[in-house]
This record gives sequence, C-alpha cells and structure tokens, in this order.
Amino acid sequence: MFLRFSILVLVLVFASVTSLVVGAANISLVDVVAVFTSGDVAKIESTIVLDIRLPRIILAVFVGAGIAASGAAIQGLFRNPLADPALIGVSSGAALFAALYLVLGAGVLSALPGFTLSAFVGGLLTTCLVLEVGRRGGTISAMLLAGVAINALAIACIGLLSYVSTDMQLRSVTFWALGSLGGADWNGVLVASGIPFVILFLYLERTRLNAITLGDQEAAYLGISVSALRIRVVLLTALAVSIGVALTGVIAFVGLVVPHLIRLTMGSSHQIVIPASALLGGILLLIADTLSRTMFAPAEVPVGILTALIGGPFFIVLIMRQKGKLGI
Amino acid sequence: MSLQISGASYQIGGNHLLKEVNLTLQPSSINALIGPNGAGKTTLLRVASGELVAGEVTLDSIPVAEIPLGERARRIAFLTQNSALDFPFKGFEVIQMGRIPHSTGRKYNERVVNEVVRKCGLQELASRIYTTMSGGEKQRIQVGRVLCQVWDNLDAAYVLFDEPTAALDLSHQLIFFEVVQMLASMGTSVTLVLHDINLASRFADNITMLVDGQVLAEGPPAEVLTRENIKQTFSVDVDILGSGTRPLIQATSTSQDIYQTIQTNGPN
Repeated sequence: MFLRFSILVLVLVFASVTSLVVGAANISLVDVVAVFTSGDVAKIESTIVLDIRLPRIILAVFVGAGIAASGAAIQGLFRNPLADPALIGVSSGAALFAALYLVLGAGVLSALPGFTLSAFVGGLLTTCLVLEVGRRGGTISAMLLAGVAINALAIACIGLLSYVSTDMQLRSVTFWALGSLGGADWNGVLVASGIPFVILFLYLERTRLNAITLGDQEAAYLGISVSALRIRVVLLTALAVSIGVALTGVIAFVGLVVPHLIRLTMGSSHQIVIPASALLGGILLLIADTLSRTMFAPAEVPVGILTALIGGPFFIVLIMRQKGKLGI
Repeated sequence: MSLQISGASYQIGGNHLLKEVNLTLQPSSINALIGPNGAGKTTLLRVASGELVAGEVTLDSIPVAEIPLGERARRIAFLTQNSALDFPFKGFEVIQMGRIPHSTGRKYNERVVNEVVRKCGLQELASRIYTTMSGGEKQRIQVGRVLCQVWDNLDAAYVLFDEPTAALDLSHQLIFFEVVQMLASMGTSVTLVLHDINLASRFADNITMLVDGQVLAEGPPAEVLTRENIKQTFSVDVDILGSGTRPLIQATSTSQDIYQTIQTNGPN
C-alpha cells in the first residue's frame, strides 16, 4: 500500500513539473529551474511560471483533490458508488448560487469570498434537498433522478440569468457552465487552501464512513450517531465542492471516476480511499487541465469539457455493469 | 446483571407489532425467539438493542436509552438480516469493523480479528472480496464482525442475531451453534430469532414464543415446544419425538383452516 501511495505522489510530482514546462509560451525545464533557484531569467518567463502556471497547477491539484475526496465520502455516505457531487446536482446548485451572486448581489462582499460563500449556500441547499429526496424516495435511483432534475433546473436558471446580466457577467456565467481553470491566480489559491483542511476532516471520518456502508442501523449498533455523521459529511463535501465551483466552475465526473478507480486498485476502506482519491483527483485534474491548455494552444478547451468527455462514457459503462441493481 | 425489557409495546400506523412484552436476557444463556412471520421477533430484538424505544429496557438496571451509543455498542451487538454492504471490501476488513466502538489500538484489534477468524473458520473467506461472496458466505463474515465487537468483553456482552442460520448450509449451521455455545459458556447472553424449531430445541436454554406481538409461552424447550403451543402459534400439527429436555419436532400436516386458506387464496 505504501508503494502505491508512493507511486501516486511520484506521478503528482512528475505531472506538476511537466505542467510547469509545457504551455503556449515555450519555456525550457532549465529556465523553469532557474526561476526557482537563481531568478536569473527574463521577467516575462518568471511571471509566466510563478504567477500563471504555478498557481494554476496548485489550484488544479487542490480542486481535483477536493472533488474526488468529496465524491469518495459521499459515495460511502449514500452507500452507492454512482453518487458524484456533480451528478446529484450539488455542483450545479453551487454554480447557480455563485452566478446569482455575480449577477444580482455582487458588491455585498468582496468578490471571491462572497462568491465562494454563495456557492457554499447553494451546494449545501442542494445536498440537503437530494438527501431528503433520497430518504423519501427510499432508493438511490430516486436520488440520482433528483440530481437530473436539479441539474436541469440549475442550467435553466443560469440560462435565465444570462438575460439579465451584462456582457461581462455573461462571460463569467458561461465559464461556470463549462468549468475552467483559466482564471487561476494566487488569490484563488488562497481560497482553495481551505480544501486540504476539508479533506483532512473527511479523513477523520474514515472509520465511521466504513461503518455506514454496512447500513444506517448497523452503523448505529456500532456506536455511531448516524445523523450527526451525515450532517458533518454533507457540510464538508458541500464546502469542498463549493470552493471548487466558485474557483473553477462545474467539473463533472472527477468525483465519480477517481474513487472508483481507487477502490478497484487499492480496496474499499475509507482509510485508503479518501487520501488516495484526493491524490489521484489532483493528478487527473492537473493532467486534464494541462491537456486542455496545450491541445489547441494558444486556445484553451474548458477542462470541464475534457473531464465530461472521459467521464461520460465511463459512467455509462458503470451503469451497465450494475446489472439491474439500480432498480430504475 | 441482565438485559430486561418490560412492558414493551410498539406500533406503526395502528399496526401493533408488540403488545406489553416482557423479556429478560440472562448472561451465559442462549435464548431463542420463535414465531410466525410478522409476530414481532425482529421488532423485539430492535427494542432490546435500544434502537427502538418501547417500554422500559434496562441493562444492569440502567435504562438503555441513557447509555451512550459507543458504550452500548461495546455491550450489545446486533446482527440484522439485511446488510446493505455493496462495496468491494475484503472479508477481514468487514470483520474488522466490529472493532469500531473500541479504542483498543491497531495491534490489539488485529489480534482479536485473527482469533475470531480462526474460531469461526473464516481464514479462506477473510481474504476474499465481500461483494463476490454468496449469501451464506456474507453471513459468516457478518457473524465474525459481530463477534469481534464483543470478543474481549464476552462475560458482559449481549449478542442479538436475527435469523443467523437462514443462509447457512448444514455444516455451517452447526459450526455457528458451536460458536454460540462457546460464547454462552464464556458468559455471553445470546439471543437468536430462529425459524427452525428443532435448532431452537436443540441449542436454546430458553425459548420465547411470540404470536401477534405477544408472548405466548416462555421457558425451556420441553415446556414451550408442546403440540398445543405449536398448533396455536404456527397452525401446524406436529408430533413430538423423544421425551427429554430437547424434544424433536416433526410437522405432520398443516391444520385444516390454513390448508383451506391456501386452497382459496393461493399461498401468501
């Protein structure tokens, strides 16, 4: 297990270095090293590496890690490997509220914190709504279907918002619908630095999350207060996902694909699934983002498009392999 | 020292699942709950576990509701019929979950898991993936988990099993009851919902017969398992073979009214 974690860390380092070197501007590895050591490089190259690429890399890793760890925790909580913060509507709920803040309420708080807070409220409300629908509907399919409805509703509302927004706002709103790390800067990294703490708190719930996969009753017989656990995990995941959404927009499927791959290769215990998902989520979003900004350089493909292109088919395969267990 | 339920009544939507049930579970004993489907056996176990609140339930004279969840979990373990587990855990990881209420450290917990695995013959299953197991294999793993929960506290533990043998083949049923007898000899109070009257007769110290949420009879097997009681509980005519303390029950026929109900309405 130590070996597998080491491999993940190595891949993360390798991906980060690669991402520092490649891009629209041609900067060699030697120059990149020089930026960090002697500082004996052209001003423009130093700016590109330190103020454009580096914050973007950190942001990609933090956001990817947050989404993937949240996906892992929420799948455990819902006892279903198909739950994903984006699929069940949490991300689009957060995006809608962020867009609402941008178009209607901007100026109430200084932009980024107010924005994140607004996304958090949206994410939290949707998670609670989905939990309630799942509880009343009694099945996971009810929850996934609620997610479909919430996604459609959020997209419709964001669409409506575009009619009352200015051109500038419209550009920003469109950015959420697709998901992109193009806006990354050190302010963003500062806000995103909350994510590792959220992951740490999720990690503290690891044994309780293991227990709840047995069933709510069974977890209670193991001495766990299920309702309190549910509230904590919902709050934490909503927080991680909302920070991600506020900074990068909706990035779907990372929360679904990553924990699944981890369970397949490293086992199901949340002691492993949470940290390993965080690592792999960071790696995947970083690679996806690096691809998105280099494939058609100097143009950028929103990274959300890329993750959906990979994640969509993956999800369909997962559904087919459920063999009627979904009960839809 | 005992787990006592007194005056437990429970209803859902006007449906009386339990009516004024009294039950005392003593240490070092094997208690069987028998009765037809819907008699309230599972509900009674849930009341005993402290999950459902009905009547007065006390553990060593302390109301169960006042005992913190974690402390309760170290004393009372409950294996339900339907575990929802649908993640590919290894067998031993599931067994390990029984140690969640304890803060006894990894080394110690591993030793407990190993002992339980050995005692229950789970060596081979423990390394397999839970979701690929058959119903009976899953059940054996779950039994291991529940044993882990009270393993270092056997003389003060109350273990509740809801139909533990339903999915087990003949040899594993016997292995299971060997373990149950071992638990009882260590001081544990074991309570089982059983459908097989003969298993109850052979292994239980006490049998509680439930009908329509009420206790019809209670006591040692030979006293409870009479032709009249069984007829009244299950509407089945039986022959009682053997005259010892653990009679053997053989069903001869269903009584006329049940037969006619099936004739007119079809089974179920």
